[in-house]
Amino acid sequence: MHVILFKLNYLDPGSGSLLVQLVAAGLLGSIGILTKIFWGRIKAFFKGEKYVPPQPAEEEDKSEE
Amino acid sequence: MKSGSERIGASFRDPSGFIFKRDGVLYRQVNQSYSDAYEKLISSGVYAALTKAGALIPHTESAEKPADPLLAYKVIQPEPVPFISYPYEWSFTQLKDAALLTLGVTRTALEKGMILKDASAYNIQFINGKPVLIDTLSFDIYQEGAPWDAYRQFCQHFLAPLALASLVDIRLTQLLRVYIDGIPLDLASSLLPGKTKMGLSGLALHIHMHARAQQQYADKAVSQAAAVKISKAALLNLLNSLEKTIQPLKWEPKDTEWGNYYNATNYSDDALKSKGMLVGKFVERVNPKTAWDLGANNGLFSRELSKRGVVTTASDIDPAAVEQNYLAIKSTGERCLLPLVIDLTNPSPAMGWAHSERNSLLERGPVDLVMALALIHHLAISNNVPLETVAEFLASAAKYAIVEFVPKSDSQVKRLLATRKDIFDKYTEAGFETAFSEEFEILEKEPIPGSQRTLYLLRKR
Repeated sequence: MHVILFKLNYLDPGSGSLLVQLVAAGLLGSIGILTKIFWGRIKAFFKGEKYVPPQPAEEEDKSEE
Repeated sequence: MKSGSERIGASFRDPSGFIFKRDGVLYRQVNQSYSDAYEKLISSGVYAALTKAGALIPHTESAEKPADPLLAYKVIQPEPVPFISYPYEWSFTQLKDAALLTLGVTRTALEKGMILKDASAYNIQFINGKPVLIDTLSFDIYQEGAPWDAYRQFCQHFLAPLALASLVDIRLTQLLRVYIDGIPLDLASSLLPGKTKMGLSGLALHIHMHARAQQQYADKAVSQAAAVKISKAALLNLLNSLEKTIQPLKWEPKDTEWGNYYNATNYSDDALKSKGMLVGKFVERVNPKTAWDLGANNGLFSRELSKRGVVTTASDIDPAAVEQNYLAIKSTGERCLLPLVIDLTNPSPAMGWAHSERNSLLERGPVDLVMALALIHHLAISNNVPLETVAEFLASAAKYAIVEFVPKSDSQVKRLLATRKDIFDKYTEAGFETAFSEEFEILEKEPIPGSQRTLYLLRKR
């Protein structure tokens, strides 16, 4: 069960605000991460080059979850 | 409530504790219900990190008896705030800096396992020229997956007024004076330009979509919202997104009332300098600790007070002059000066529940010295305020007053009279002295070199 169900809120966060927050946080996060993942490809596409995947060792560990 | 202590109106909503005043000292009672959060604030290092950065007001734990012992966990004594100001009195960059501080504090808290449970602009005050969070009880223990309860409040208190000021009109920050919990997002959404609705921009999300969602879910139970689970990383994204939305919002004053007033006044550089020296001489004679400079423009003469260590607010009706003053303070790191946007013909009233949440301007006084330079003619002639009434007002604000009298022969007054009938028979130097004699005695009177004006040092009778 969920913690916020039981928490006594002193501010009413508002149902709508919670949902937008979820959308905003999730959406912006995923756009950011997708861009990060595909940045090499996007760059390559606009430069008209062939995309070469980076070496896995260089990947930074910043996963979303 | 224990006798001899007075609970302060602004802090009644939060069950975590409240502010009370005893023997002239402000304390904050921390309630039992907040004990875990308070201990976490200290043990997590959030308190240390934020006070070190100057972002949170430092406090000491006090042995003083609580005002409500049944609920009490601790009593703390926060460092005093020299002057409480409100967001509807701030210039654009003051509000923006307060917004960015709130986001920064939330981020620091989140990294150490806490979160801000509210994001009220009224929790921010300017101390030594910088914004500081003054509500020590704003922190809650962060629960993994929990959303940010203060998101809506942040958008209403900060994002909406900043966006409106930047993209529509600076005067819309005054909506904060109407809506005590920030500008309603549906109102902000309907006032903002249509282009801000496009795409996935910050404003499209945090204002427009937010407003629509509020309307859609206004009377729906929390069951849907209860399913909301947001990872910490996603919350940090949300904070980043808010910051990225606020950061590019700018306001550059163009044609304002006083913007370049000092270029268009009756004073030459030499005259300005000697007026400054005269003001300084009067200030030194009174040696005040606190002062208000009313009609201060960009604070040129307020600095005769603040540079002598006098805690000074420099208020003006013109948001551009106040903005200019704040930017100067920011770049030089001046400490004793607080610029505020205040229309003296309609100063900030007492507001909120039972008129006790926000104080009127006069309730936040009195101060030792009030200064009114090149102001009397605007009040007396442009606003038809009788000189006696001006004297009464100044006498209710401070024990000493420095007042500049600008005669009708002065070209600034001629300009004011050019478009209207001169109904001001008593507006003469003698008339001024008679009108003020009821409330004040004249300690000094000096002509200002290079002008037709006179500077008075007055003491309340």
